[in-house]
Parts: sequence; structure tokens; C-alpha cells
Amino acid sequence: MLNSAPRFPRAARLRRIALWIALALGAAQAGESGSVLDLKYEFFRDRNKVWNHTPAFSLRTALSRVWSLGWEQEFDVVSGASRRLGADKVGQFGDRNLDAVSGASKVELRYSENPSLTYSNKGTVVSGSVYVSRENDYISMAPAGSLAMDFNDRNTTLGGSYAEFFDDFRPTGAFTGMGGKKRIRSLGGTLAQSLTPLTLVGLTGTWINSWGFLGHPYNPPMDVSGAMMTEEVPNTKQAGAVSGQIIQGYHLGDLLGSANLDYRRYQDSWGIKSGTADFKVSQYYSESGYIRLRARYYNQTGALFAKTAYAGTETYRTGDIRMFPFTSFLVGAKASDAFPDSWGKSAFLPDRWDLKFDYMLRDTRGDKVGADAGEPRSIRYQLYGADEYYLQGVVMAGLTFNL
Amino acid sequence: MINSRSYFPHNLARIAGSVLAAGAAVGMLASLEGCARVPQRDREFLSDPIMQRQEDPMESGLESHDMPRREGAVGGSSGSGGGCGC
Repeated sequence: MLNSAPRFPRAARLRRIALWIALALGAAQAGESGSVLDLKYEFFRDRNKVWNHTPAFSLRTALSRVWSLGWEQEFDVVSGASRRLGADKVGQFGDRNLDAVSGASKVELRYSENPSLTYSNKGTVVSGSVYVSRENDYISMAPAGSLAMDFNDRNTTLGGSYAEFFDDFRPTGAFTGMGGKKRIRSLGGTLAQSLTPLTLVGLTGTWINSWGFLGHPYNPPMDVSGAMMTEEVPNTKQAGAVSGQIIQGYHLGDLLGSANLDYRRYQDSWGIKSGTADFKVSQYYSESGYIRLRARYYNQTGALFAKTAYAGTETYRTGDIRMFPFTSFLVGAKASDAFPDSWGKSAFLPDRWDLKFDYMLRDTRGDKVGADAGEPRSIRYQLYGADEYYLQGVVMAGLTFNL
Repeated sequence: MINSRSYFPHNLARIAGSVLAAGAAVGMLASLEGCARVPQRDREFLSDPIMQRQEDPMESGLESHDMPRREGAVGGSSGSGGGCGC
């Protein structure tokens, strides 16, 4: 059984991380030319001073002309994790920085690996991977596979993907024993078509079937008197999503630019529907450097059984913020360029850099619905009033090495 | 416990309808292939990173995993599981 104590001493954990990096770099040096190492460092901070540091790397190395090995490694150090109950640990006045989504307050580490093997030959790409993620109260393992084929003189790409997640949620503290195992099966299909030398369109369909323990007990629902109740949600969920994308290139003088519009519709058997519109404009300012501006809009309805207060007789009840309606807006900018050739070429010198900043605003319309109905305020929005906003910023910096 | 299959059957019908609509759209798109053939010599710009469906795959991967929990959204990205760091 998992508990809140670290399962591995910090020094041993760091040694394992160093070993992974050394093995990955060793594999890259031993492989054929064409190995690429991407390093990213992401920092997140929200209005409530909850932060998240995520260093990550991705290594792709060619084993032969058609086979390649990939390894993605991610570490999360978060300051809002595994919610605890107690007079000094609840609410915005509890001297703790709570995560607005999970209501959690602990500093924890999550790390994940995703090794993959890819076969690519004459427009056919087959890939298999195994994703493993571990954190204090959650373990996930997911084998996955994908197939993509080019045809029509490489103007059309048809692809399919499959993933099966074996997840185990073991809440800690006052919520010990409220979790369980979860399975998620995801099937996807993609079609991409180039229409002109500057126009690409794509269509993706995804089907996700989940069963087992699907709740999130860290945010318990409340009754009309404000007392906390046990969360109850269905033990199966089916979801479907469809997204369409169009990328249109253009030229400003001799410099290439592109406009990329992606729209996604999602619906599941719990009654949640959502729409996501994501628009990006990228423009080269030199032969190697470009900037990207981005605007994203997201809107979702709530689950059919989600209420801000419960009588206690309902079959299902949840206080999970993700089950309620809301709207969010994101704006962002990114720049990427190559380092000057005058720096020389070495495996220890990066070839490219990138830097991006995203800023998100999430409204609390779900709580406003409850306030309008005369219901008491839900614990899920304990951080902010009904007319306030949840704000967050993300900075990501990256280096690319052609080994 | 009541199974959500019986609890929300009308939503299943809607989801199936959406998937069928997507299939029809895929078929229509596939039918374009005969009149949308870009020769290899003209594909220079289509292979540029800013013309890709995922301009930076690693950035997209991190975002599809991190965005749902930061945003508190259910259907905003393709991420479907795998732990949250929360």
C-alpha cells in the first residue's frame, strides 16, 4: 500500500535519473547518425502561488535505416498535490497554497518514462511504446501502438492508434481507501491530406472507454448544510472526440508563415460536452528563426449529476471541479531559432533553442450557477469568489541537440 | 452501482452520431485525394516545421498531459490518463 512517505530516498532517485540520462546519451552516441535530443524545462505558476517545475527530455536515435528508438522522460515537482484535511490545511486561509483544480497542498514528485520503438519505411510508420508514471498516490502504465501510412504520392496519410492505461489511484491522508484501479482504452484514427503546396487539412477521431474507479475523492461534494459527503460517480464512461485542423501557409516576402486552426468537439456518457478552438500563427523572421502567436478558447458543460449541493439521496454526486461547466481563454507566444554556425558543431553544443509563454484565464461560472440558485458555495471553488477568475502562466524553455 | 451505460443511454447515441459524422467527413476528405495531388518537387513548404500538424511534438506531448489538470478540463486535449501530479 502506498503512503505519503517517499518510496525512494532522494539520493537514490537522483542516481536513477542520472543513470537514465547517461544510458540515453550512450544509446544516442552508439546509434547511427540522426539522433536528436530535446531538453525542455517548464515552469508553471498560478494566481494562488501554486507552482510546478517540469524538466523533461526526449531522445530519438536511429538504430538502423528503418528502426529508431525513442525515450521520453518527464519529472514533475508540484506544490499542490494530494489534498489533506485539517484545520491548517484547508482553504485559502489555511497557510497553504492549494491547487485550484485538485484542492491539494503537498509538494510532491511525479516521474514518467515512455520508451518507444519505431519502424519507418517508404511512408509506413509503425510504433510501439510503454508509458509508466509514478507519484505518491497514483501509478499508471500504458502500452500503446500506432500505424500511419502515406499513399496517393504521399499526399494522404491515414493513421490509427491504440492505448490501454492501467491506472491505480491510492489517495492518502484522510482519503485513504477511497481510490481504486482504473482502465482506460483509447482508440484513434487520423486522416491528413495536403491540398496545395501550402495547404494541409487533417481530421482525427478518438474513442475512449474508461471503467473502474473513475472518481477524484480529494474534492468531496457537500450537502445543503455545507457538510462534506462521500463522492459517488459511475464506474464506466464512454467518450468520443472529433477534431479538424487546417494549416494554411503564406509568404511575407521570401519568408514562410502559416496559420493553423484546430477545432475539437468532445462528448461523454456523463453528459459533458466541450469545444476547443486553437489558433496559431507562425512567421519566420529569418532563415532559421520564427515566432508563434497563439489564442485558445475552451468551453465545457457539466456532468448531468453535478450539483453545487446535494440532498444526500442522489445516486451520483461529485465536487470535482472538472465535472462543472466553465470557460477558459489562453494566449501565448513562442520563439525558436538556431544557434549561430560560428559556435561550431559538437554533441555538447545545442543546435536550436525555443522559448514560450502561455497565459490562461479560467472563469468560475460553475460556482455562479450555484450562487444564482441560492445554493451554498461549493468547496470546489473555495479559493475564489463566484465572480473571480483563476489565472495561470506557463513558461517553457527548450534546447535541441543534433547528436 | 448503476452502470452509466444504462444511466445515460441518450449520450451514447449522440457520441455514436458524432463518430459516424466524423467517419462521413473522413470519407469526403479521402475523396479529395484524386484532385489534390501535390508533386514531390512542390512539397518543400509542407515539410517545414511550422506547417506540421504538431510543430513541436515534445511540446505537444507535455501540453496534452499537463493542460487538462491545470485547466481542470475533461475534453480539452487528447490526454486520457496516466497520472496527474496532483
